[in-house]
Amino acid sequence: MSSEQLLQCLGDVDEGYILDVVPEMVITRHRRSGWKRVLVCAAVISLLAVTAFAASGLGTRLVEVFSNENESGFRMAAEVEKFPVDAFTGEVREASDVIQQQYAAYSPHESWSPTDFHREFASSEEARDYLGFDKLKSLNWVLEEKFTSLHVYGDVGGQLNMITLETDYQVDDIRIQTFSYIYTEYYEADVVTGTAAAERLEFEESYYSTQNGKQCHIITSSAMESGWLGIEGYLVDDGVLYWVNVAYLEKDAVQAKALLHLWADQF
Amino acid sequence: MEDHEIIDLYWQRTESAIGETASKYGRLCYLIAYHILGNHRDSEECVNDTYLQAWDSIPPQRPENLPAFLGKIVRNLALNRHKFDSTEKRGGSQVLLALDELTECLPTSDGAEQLIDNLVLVEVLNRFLAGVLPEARIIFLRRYWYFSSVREIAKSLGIGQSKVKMSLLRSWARLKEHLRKEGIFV
Repeated sequence: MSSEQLLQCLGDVDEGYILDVVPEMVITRHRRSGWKRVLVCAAVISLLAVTAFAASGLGTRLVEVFSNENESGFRMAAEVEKFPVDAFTGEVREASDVIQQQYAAYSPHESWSPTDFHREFASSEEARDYLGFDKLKSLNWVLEEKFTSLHVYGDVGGQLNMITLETDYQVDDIRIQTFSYIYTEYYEADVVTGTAAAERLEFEESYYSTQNGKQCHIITSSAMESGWLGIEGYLVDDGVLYWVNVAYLEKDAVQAKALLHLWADQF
Repeated sequence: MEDHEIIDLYWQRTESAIGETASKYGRLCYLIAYHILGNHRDSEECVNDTYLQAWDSIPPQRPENLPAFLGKIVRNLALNRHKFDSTEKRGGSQVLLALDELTECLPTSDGAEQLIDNLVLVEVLNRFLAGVLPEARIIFLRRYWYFSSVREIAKSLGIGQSKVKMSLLRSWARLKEHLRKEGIFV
């Protein structure tokens, strides 16, 4: 027996097990009635977004809301720019060699993700210097940074296809994660991101026009069993996808929304 | 449209069956193919071949679970295509990584390589999956049936990558022990 045979035979296991895996991949319009309202709203708004999307060229579009007994979430497509790797002038280009070496040395027990080169920084400013990418927006708000992390993804040939920069903040009980997604010329797939939770949640879609006239796509989720709520903002600026996730408790709802708007107004 | 209505269209030899299948399950099929092939054009072709194979198979078949039925077809087509292509040059495919990982699950013996009938092995795997907790089973199948990356699984399930990795490590150990108990060795 070989691992190839094992992999092949896994394809023929009981269909019940397979169905446990696939529901979230399937558009769930026919599911629970409680979701129909949300889905219909999402579909209508999504159509509007498509129109706007075509006019501006870049932007985001809600493509799916899903839910079942164990999980729920949504998927957000984004039209972004695919930048040439030459646009990154910082030390980040060392990631190409590192990723190639990771592939060469790959062993399941030693290196689980040869595609991923990861570094943490003391500040987002350091991370931006390391990246050397002049189109990346820096946030000029007064919040204290708690954590900054950079992930660079590449293929076996060391071609960098995606870079994500995360910086986290905390304001009292409100937790804020900000992400920048930069895609390169070597990223071939459609850009789709989103959120999933291991429980049933409801989502509402809305938009916020920033002070500079840009459109921030907002998804608000209902409270989790733990009591935490979420409000997320998606925005494409200069070809880069930006995402903020604000987790808050009900008592902080007004402040959480204000923080999201503050973030969006940076663009 | 409900699945049984789509299957009725196949049985009636109505060509809209393929359109309805594509509309409802096209993305599922594409994602399965893409995870294996890591290439848009090949994945599209694989999905089209899946529709044709479904058209040729229904009738006489009447699948109880249409997404699983389609998923199996596209998975097999994509794996076959993967064998013929020089996919080792591609970074997008998760198959080579998955094969490496599964190699760790195979119990070894001092004797010659054991030949196992696929049907027997499928039943052994079904018994293994029956004994795994639901979340671990979903993570395991997302990785080795659907070929999702650890990052995708973590994001999809709303859990950390480390939890996914730990779950897979435990599943490997359990699978290895299960295969050994069933008398299956490399």
